[in-house]
Parts: sequence; structure tokens; C-alpha cells
Amino acid sequence: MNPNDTLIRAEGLSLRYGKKLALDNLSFSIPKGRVVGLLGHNGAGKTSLMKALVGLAGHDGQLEVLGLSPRRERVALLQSVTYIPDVAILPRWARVEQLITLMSGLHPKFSAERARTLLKRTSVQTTDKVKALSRGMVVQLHLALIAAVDARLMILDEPTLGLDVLSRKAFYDMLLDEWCDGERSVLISTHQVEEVEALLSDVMMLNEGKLVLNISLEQIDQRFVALKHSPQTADAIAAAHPILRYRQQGEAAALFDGAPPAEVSALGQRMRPSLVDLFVALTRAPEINPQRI
Amino acid sequence: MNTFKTLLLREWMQHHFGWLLLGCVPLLIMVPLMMFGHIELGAEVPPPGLIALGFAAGYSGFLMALAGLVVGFQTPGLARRDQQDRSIEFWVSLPASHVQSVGATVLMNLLLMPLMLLGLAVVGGILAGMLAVLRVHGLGGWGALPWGTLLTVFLAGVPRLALGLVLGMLWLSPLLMLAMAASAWLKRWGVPVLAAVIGLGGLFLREAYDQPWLLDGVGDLFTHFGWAVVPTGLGTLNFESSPWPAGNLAQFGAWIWKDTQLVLGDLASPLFAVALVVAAIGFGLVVLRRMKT
Repeated sequence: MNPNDTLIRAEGLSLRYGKKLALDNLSFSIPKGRVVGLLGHNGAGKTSLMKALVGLAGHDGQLEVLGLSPRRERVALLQSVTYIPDVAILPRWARVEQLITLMSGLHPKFSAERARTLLKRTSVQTTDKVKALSRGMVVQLHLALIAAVDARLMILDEPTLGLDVLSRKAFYDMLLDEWCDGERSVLISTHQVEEVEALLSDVMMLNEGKLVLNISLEQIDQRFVALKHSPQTADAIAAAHPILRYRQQGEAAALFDGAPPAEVSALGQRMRPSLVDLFVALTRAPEINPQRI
Repeated sequence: MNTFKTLLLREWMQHHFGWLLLGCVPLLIMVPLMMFGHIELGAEVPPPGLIALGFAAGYSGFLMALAGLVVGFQTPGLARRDQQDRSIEFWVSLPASHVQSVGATVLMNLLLMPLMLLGLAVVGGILAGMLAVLRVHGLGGWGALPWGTLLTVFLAGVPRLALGLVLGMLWLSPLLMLAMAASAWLKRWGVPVLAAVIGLGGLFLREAYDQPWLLDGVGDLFTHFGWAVVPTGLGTLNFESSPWPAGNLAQFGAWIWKDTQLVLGDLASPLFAVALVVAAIGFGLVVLRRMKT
């Protein structure tokens, strides 16, 4: 891979809040043109990682975003990285047009014209005051503002938290249609795993500050095997040590990290493992799930 | 520079309504009061020039005292303003440094807005003076005004008041910046704690260790503040023997020039240097708190 194609590179990245270790020795890289889902339970370290990526949290270890040090070169970095934090709250006193004016002055790569064009796709008017908008409209406005920045990387921390399904769909439609172009990358954290699965090219899973999975969706199909099986074969399947046993559409299923022995595979019907099942398997109980990447 | 100007613009967008209200409401109350209210000046009616100046100074002084109270009450809250309306995450996601962001808030709210209010106070003062002359001496009073002298007073006095405002803010800057820093770090307890540290700590130092420097130093800051904002020749002006009440306003320009030299010379003192250092420390603490958002 061309080094210029790597947008984020972390080596031994750790972050502490006092005695609590929020990020524990993470190493990963994100190339350009990817849509990466960052999954993890509450408190897993997702927000801490995103804050470290945009220079809002100090860290140990090496971290480069677009070749820059986020902590030392935050201002330069934020000219090419856009960020919607988990509390997607725009200043309530402002009007939409005022926010466009401020973004024009504060962001050298912001296009006011493009922001207005994007806003036409929403029900937000430029004369609206933020405090008069619903939460869904505020998030749409926020996305329109940062999608109008000609950035290389967008970091979204639970951007659709608290939105209804229509607002979430509108948000992701705008994100994919108006921003993702094969060159730019998106790192998005969410709890709505099923909804974003179709959008993602890669997935990273955090569990208690550790990176337990960092993989492309194509590789998931190759590495993890889900078997749907009858109750009669359950004991034989369990003996092969699946990482998760669960039910799908009323039928028993088991998830294996790596291909199970051929005789076990023959006991069930192979199917594509879902991200949700994988997430549950890798993060449900750290004491019984050895950390893996 | 564009970033800083935009941050100043943001302050204007957020706070101009309150400041304009503060500047205009007294004006809207004063005009009908002056037109239809009762003006009592005693048995000996002063000449038109003194009436004009007296009412102008009275109105301007009242409005600027009001502005001083607003700055005093508002300043500590500025440090936590963006946290309280939950927009801080939005602001720190933009490519503006923390120093610039805090600097723009301080400059606009502690200096530029009060200067704007001074402009409104002067305009209102002139109006009050003219209306007072009209009510006391009739239309002929305007014809009897020493226009040349009044122009001299205006041209000398307004720049002196503006300079005094800037210098006064510098003299009080350690207290204002410490109040902001205390509020940023200790939230609602910030100002009470600061007041207790200065008040009780100062008393303790003075009574227990015969070290009155803390209380004296704070008192001196207010004394120098007073000298800066009210042209009294560093307290040497004796109003009974001064030429002003006697109506000899021709000397006003020369007096203001002498006073300006004195207040500028007053800056060359160890207390002022200490004041600036303390203010810089307070500013740094506010920036540091914002960095840890």
C-alpha cells in the first residue's frame, strides 16, 4: 500500500483517564476510500479513540492522521478532517445562515454554496434558528455543514443517536451520496449495527479499550463461519467450540472463528455471519472471550 | 487572522442583542423622561454649556456603570458558556486554536462590546445634554451653547474615555481572568471560591502574618482602574478648585492631555506588570480547561 494512501496509522495507542485505561495498546491503520464502522459497548473506548484522532485527547503511543500528529497539529489536521461528536449539538442561539457564515470563515475548505445545496435536500431552511429545529434536523444540518468541507476523512461518533428511522436513513443517504467518493474515508461509531452494516467496507470492534477485531467485511466472510443446525446436532456443534451459539429465525446457529472441522461443517448449513452476532461473540464477556484481532 | 475575525463575529452574533438592548433601553427611557419629566436644577440655573455637559456625563456615566456591572457578572460565565449550551464539541471540532477561541471571547466581551456601549453612551449623552438644555433654556439655549468648546470637550473627552476603558480593563484583567479561570475549573463554585481566597485569604495574611499585600494589591487595582476610566489626573483633580464647574471649559483639552499622559505613565509600575502576569496565568488556565474538554 502506498504510504500516502494511509489516512490513519496508530501504533501502541493508549489513552488513560486517571487510573482508567480507556484505550489499551491499539495498532491499526485506515486507508483512503474506506467506510469503517467502529463498534463497541458503552465505555468500550470509541469516543476516546475518536477524540484522540482529532487531537482532543492526549495519548501514549504513535498516532498519525493524514501524516499529522493530532495533538500537536490539531488545527492543521481539522482542516482536512471533519468530526461530528457524539453530542451532535449545534449552538442553539445561531441561525443556519449564521453557521454557514461562521463555517466559511473558520474552515478554509468549506463551501457555503455546497452547504446550501445540501440543505435543499433537507427540510432545514437557512433562516431557521437551531433551537427551532428537531434533533433529526439538527443532525442533518450538522452533516450538511461538514459534508460541505472538502475533507479527506470524516469521523462520526454516534451521529444518529436518538433519531427516528427516517431521519437515520436520510442521514446515511446524504453521507453516502454526497460525501463518499472512493477517495475519502469515514470512521463511524454506532450502536445501530444492523443499519450500518450495508454501508461499511471495514469494521473495528473495541472491547474494554482493546481492539478485538479489525477486518474488512469481505474478510469476515472468509474468516468467520456461521452454521445453522438442527437441535439434534447441538452437542456435536458445541464440542467444536464455537465463539457464539445463538438462534436465528427460530433455528439454532453457531459462529466459528475459522472454518470448523469438515465433519462439523457437514452437520449444519453455512450462512453469512452478521455483524451483530460477531459483535456479541467478541464483546459479550471478556473473561470467556480471549482478545483477538 | 480570518479565523480570529470570524471568532469575533461569532461573539457578536451570539451577544450583540443583549449589548444593544443594554445600550438602547436606557436611551428609550431617557428620551421621554427628558422630554416630559421634571428637571430641577435649584435656584441658580447653570449656563447651557454646563447643563449639556452635566447631563451628557451623567447619562454616559450611568450607562457605563451599568456596562461595568454586566461585565462583572457576565465574565465568569463566559468560561463555561459553550459547555453549558453543549455546543463546545462543535466549536472544538473546527480548525481554530483554543488560544484564538478564548482570546476572541475575552476581547469581544471585555473590550469591544464595552467600547461599542461607550459609543452608544456618548450618543445618548449628547442627546440627554441637548434635551436638558432645550427643557431648561428653551430653543434659544442651543444658540447660546459654546459649540466650539463643546466640540473640544467631545474631541478630547471621547478618545480619553475609550482609552480609559481599555486601560481600566487591563487593570482589572487579573481579577476578571481569574474569575473566568475559577469558573472554568470549579463551575458554579469558582467565583465564591475565588472571592473567599482573596477575601478571607487576604484577611488571614494581614491579621495573622501582618502581610496586607493581597488585600492592598486588589484595592490598588480598583484604585488604578478608577483613575484610568475617570479622568481625575490620578486622583489629583480637586473638583472645587478645578476650572470645570466654573465653566472654564477651554482648559478641558489641555487638562485631558495632561491626564492622558499621567494614566499612560501609571502603567509603568510593578503592580501593572504583576497584573498582566496574573491575567495571563488566568487566560492560560481557561485555555487549558478548554483543551481538556
